[in-house]
Amino acid sequence: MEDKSSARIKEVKKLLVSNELNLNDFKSKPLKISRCTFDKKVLLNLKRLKVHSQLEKKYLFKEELRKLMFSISEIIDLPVAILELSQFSNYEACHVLVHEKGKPIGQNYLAYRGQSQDAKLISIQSFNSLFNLVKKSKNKIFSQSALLKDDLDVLGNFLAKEIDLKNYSVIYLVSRNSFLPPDSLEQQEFQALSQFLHIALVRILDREKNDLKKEILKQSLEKFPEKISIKKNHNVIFTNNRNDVSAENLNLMIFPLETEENLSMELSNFSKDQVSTELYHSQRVSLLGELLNTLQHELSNPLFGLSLTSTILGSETKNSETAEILGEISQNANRSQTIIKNFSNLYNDNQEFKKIQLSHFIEEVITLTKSETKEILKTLVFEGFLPSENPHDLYITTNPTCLTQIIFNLVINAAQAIKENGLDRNKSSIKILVTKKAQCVSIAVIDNGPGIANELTSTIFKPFFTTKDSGTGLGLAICQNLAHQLGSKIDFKNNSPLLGATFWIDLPS
Amino acid sequence: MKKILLIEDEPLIQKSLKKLLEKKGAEVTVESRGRDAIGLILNQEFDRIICDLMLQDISGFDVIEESKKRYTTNDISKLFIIITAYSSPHVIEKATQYGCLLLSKPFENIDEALSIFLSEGGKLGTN
Repeated sequence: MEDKSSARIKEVKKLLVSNELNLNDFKSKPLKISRCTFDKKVLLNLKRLKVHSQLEKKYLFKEELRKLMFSISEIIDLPVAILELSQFSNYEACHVLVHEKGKPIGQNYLAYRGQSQDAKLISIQSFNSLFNLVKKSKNKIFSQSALLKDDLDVLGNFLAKEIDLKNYSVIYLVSRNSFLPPDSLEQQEFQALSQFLHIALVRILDREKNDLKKEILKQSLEKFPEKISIKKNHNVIFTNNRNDVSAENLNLMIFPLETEENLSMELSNFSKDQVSTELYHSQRVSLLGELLNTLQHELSNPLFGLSLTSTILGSETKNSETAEILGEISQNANRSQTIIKNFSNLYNDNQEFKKIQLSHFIEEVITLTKSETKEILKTLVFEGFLPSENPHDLYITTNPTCLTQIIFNLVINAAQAIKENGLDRNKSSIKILVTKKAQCVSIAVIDNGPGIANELTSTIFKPFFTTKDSGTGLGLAICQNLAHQLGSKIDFKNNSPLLGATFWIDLPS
Repeated sequence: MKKILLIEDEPLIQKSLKKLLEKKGAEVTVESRGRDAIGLILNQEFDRIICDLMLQDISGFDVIEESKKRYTTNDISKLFIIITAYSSPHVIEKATQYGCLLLSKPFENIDEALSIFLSEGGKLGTN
C-alpha cells in the first residue's frame, strides 16, 4: 500500500463526517413534495413579492405550470420543460444558467426547440455580468446585442430573469429569432414562472449536490483497496465487497469519526508489511487525538475552577503567605491547562501553517517531553545570530503540529538512546541547537548517547526498523514524512570526537 | 438589579462566578442540575441565564429546549449565554442555531466575560 492511502483515508473520513449524508441509503430519494405544500409555498412567495392578486390566482392554479414542476427531477430537463409551456410556444430556445456560489465555473443548461437538451460550462465572468445586467433591468427584456460575451448563443430577443438562492445564483432565459419584442402578457407569465422555479430549484439543486457527494463517497468506499466497513453504534452500515484474506494476516484499524452519532470506520484485510508508515501514523494520531481531546475537556473544567477560585481567594486574603500560595495554585492550574492543551495539539490533524515564535515554541515542546527526559540536562542554544539580534525575536512560518511532533520525537529518541547506554546523571545531556543560516533556520537535537552504529545508518528511517524492545519502528519514519510535509528533510550524523548523535532539520526562514 | 441564573455543575466555577457577579451588583441564583434549572426558568423571572453544556443529568441544550415552553426563540437568543469547555465545531453550530452567545471555558479574560454576562442583551422586550 502506498502512502496515498493516508490521503485517501482522510478524504473518506472528511466525506463521512459531513453529516448531511445518509449512509444507509446511497440512492437518491425522489423529489417528494405534496401539492398542498407546494401551492402554499408558491402563494407565500408571491405574497412576499407583492405580485398582483389576480396574477397570483391565475398562475397558481394554472395546471400546466404545476405539472411542469412535478415532472422535472433534474435541472438538465428544465429548459425543455419550459419550452413546452404553451405561453412560450413562440420561443425557440431556453437557457438555465446555474452558478453554485463560491465555485469557479457555472453551468449552462440549454435546449433549442425540437432538439435534445444540452449542458455546457459558462465562465464566472460571463455569468456575473449577465446576472447583474438581468438584475438591474426592470422589464427583463433584452436583445442579443446586450450580450457582449459570446459564450451564450441566444437568439434575437430574449426574456431573462435572475433567481438568487442561498447557495446558488440562477438565471433563466427564453429567446427567439425575431425582431418583435416580447409582449406584456408573455412578460408577466415569464415573471410569474420564477415563483414556481424558485421552489423547484432549491429542491433539485440541493438534492443534485447531495447526490454528487454521495456518489463520490460511494465510489471512494467501494474502490478502496482494503476491506472497509462503516459502523454506527457497532452495527455495520456499509461495507465494500473485498474478499477476506487468511486470518493470520488480518489487521484491523479503527478510526473514530467525529460526528454526532457513534460512527466509526474500520479497515481490515491488509497484512502488516503492506501498511505504510503514514497509515499507522494517521491512526495513531486519530486515536490519541480523540483520547487527549476528551482528557483536555474533562480536565479543563476543574482546572478552570481551581484557577478562578484561588485567584479570587488570593485577592481577598490579608495574609501574604496565604496569598502567595493561592497565587501558585492558580499558576499551576493554568500551567496544567496549557500542557494538556499542547498535548492535544500534538495529535491533531491540523494542516495549517502559522507564524510561531521559535524559542518559545521549542520550550513548550521540551515541557511535553519532561517525563521521558527527567534527570537529563536539556539546553536550548542559539548560534549564527548577530550580537544585535535577539534569538527570541525569531519567528518562522510552519505547520506547528508537524514541527512539534518532529522535535518531540527526536528529543524522546535522544533520551531513550541515552538511557539505553546507562544514564549518568552528571554527564547526560540533550542540546537543542537553533542555528540561523542565510536561507534557513536549522534545528538540531544533539545527544551524548551511544550514537548510531555504522551498519544501521542506511536503515534507521525505514518503517518498522527498531533497535528497541518495545518500539514500533515508526518514530523516525513518521518524522521524515512530517519533515517532507514541511518541505524539508531530517538528516543525522554521529558526533565526533565526542559520542552521541545529532539529528537536524533545516526550515526555510 | 440584574437577576442572573447560573447553571454550572463544577462547584468551584459555580462559587467563583457567583461571587464575582455579586460583586458587580447582580443577584445570582445558582443551580447544578439541569432539571431543577428548568423548573426555575419556567417559574421565575431572570434577566440572564448562564448555562453550562455538560451538566450531570441533562445537557444545556436540553435546558434551552425546555425553556421554549415559556420563551420565544428570539427571547432565548438574548436571554441565554452558553459556557462550555467542549467547544467542538458541532457544539458551536448548535449554539448558533439558537442564536445564543457561546463562551469557552477557560475564559481568556475574566473581566470581559463578566461584562458580557452583565450586558443588556438579556433584557426582554427591548425590541
